Amino acid sequence: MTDPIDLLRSANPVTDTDKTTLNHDQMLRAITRDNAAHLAPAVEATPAADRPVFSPPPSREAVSAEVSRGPRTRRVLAGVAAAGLVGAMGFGVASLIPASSTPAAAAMVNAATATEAADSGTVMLTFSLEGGTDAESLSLFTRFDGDDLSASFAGAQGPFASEVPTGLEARIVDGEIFASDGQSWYHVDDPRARTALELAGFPINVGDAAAAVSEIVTATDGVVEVEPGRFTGTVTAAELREVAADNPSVSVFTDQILGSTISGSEFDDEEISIDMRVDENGAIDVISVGTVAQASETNGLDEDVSGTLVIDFEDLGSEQVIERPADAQPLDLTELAD
Amino acid sequence: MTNQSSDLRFHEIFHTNVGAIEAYARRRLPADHVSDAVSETFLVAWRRLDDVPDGAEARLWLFGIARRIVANLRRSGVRAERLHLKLVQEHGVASQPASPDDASAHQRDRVIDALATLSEDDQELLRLLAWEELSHADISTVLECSVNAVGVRAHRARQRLADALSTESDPR
Repeated sequence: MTDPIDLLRSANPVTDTDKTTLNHDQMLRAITRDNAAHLAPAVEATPAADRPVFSPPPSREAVSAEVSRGPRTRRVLAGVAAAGLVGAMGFGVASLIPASSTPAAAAMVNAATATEAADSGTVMLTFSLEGGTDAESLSLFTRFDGDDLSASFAGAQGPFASEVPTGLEARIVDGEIFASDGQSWYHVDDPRARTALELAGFPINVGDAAAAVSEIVTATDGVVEVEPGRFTGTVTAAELREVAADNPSVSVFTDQILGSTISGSEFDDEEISIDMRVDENGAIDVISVGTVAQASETNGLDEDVSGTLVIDFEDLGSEQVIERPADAQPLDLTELAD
Repeated sequence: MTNQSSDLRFHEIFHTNVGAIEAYARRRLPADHVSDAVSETFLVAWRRLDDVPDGAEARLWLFGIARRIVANLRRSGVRAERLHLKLVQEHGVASQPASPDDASAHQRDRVIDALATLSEDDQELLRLLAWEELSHADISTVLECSVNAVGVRAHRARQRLADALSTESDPR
């Protein structure tokens, strides 16, 4: 299908900006002459620092509020989540270089390290986009125990509901991969199965994804402990994109926060808020990654848009039984990709 | 800054940007309102010359001013955009297609009709993207919101435009 932007571009009613129907010189004279006496430009009336802010930094209040609502509300808002960000929590700890040497930053990184070291538990991962009529969310739920995991899309609202096959579930048991369409189980005996599942929307590249959480936390700058056990900071869009670059498990969600696939480098300096809460064991309880764009009084936009990724860890260290599906039928990988 | 240097600066800003601002207005208003919109935009720039950024940012600042002025003109009883565009085209003000490969008039009407079904915010964002050919960063300056917001909005607006085009081509 032709890109709608290209179609719109081709419908541009004025493509030749050199053509004019106006007398520019006359207009210029009228503006400067008629207003010179009593409407002289307010020279140096406004210090540069006080000029209107063109690109206000994103507010993190809404992100913080999202986190503070607690896991139960988030479940209601967005269901459950998250496969890939965890499965290989037992994998080796990534090389961590704190973005800041402050105690708060160190505590944040330590929590990520502790979380990454957990070898079992559950993770809910939810991406939500809220703003006017655009409210939508996508949720994944993962249970993991060692290298075994169960991952399923557990909720989708708004446009995602028609895009995501919420009935699907994937399991990895003793290295073997199974997939369900909600009715039957299939055994995918193919070394490319993990990649195929990722391309189908399952973030099960667990090793990279587990490390990605730590990398995001490590890249967080300006870390402040806003209340006991709760930290905030920011990463840049470039840093977030870099973390996700080789990791489809993460990029499925971060692409949404970054504005999807349209683009690139113009996002680099955009600040993404990080809001993280640590549990009683010193591991991550919940981490929220996202931003809120607030409509200004003057920009004419009547809605706020917030894109938020919430990763909620629970029951870390508790045994999870990932059962091998009974009566799984062999499934051809080509069929799955379709 | 002396009055003379202010005048020189304003003249430079005017001559550098008047074509783009006029095109911006012509894309959104009937021909008889274009002059008012352009004049008012530069009048604001003259009055607030110290607020006008230097270099390429000046054009974005002017787009932001023009956007509000165009909105005011439209609110004050200017016809709907679809009619505007048709008038612009009928009166010969519109330029010719940029290349022989451009869409036909029928195709153009179809796209404009689809665009008109979107919210005004979506329309303006897509116009800035496709007609003014601004980057997301530039649009964020014009709309005074974050670049990220532009990205998210653009993605959704593009989807909605695609849906509207699909609906128009496949009415059920």
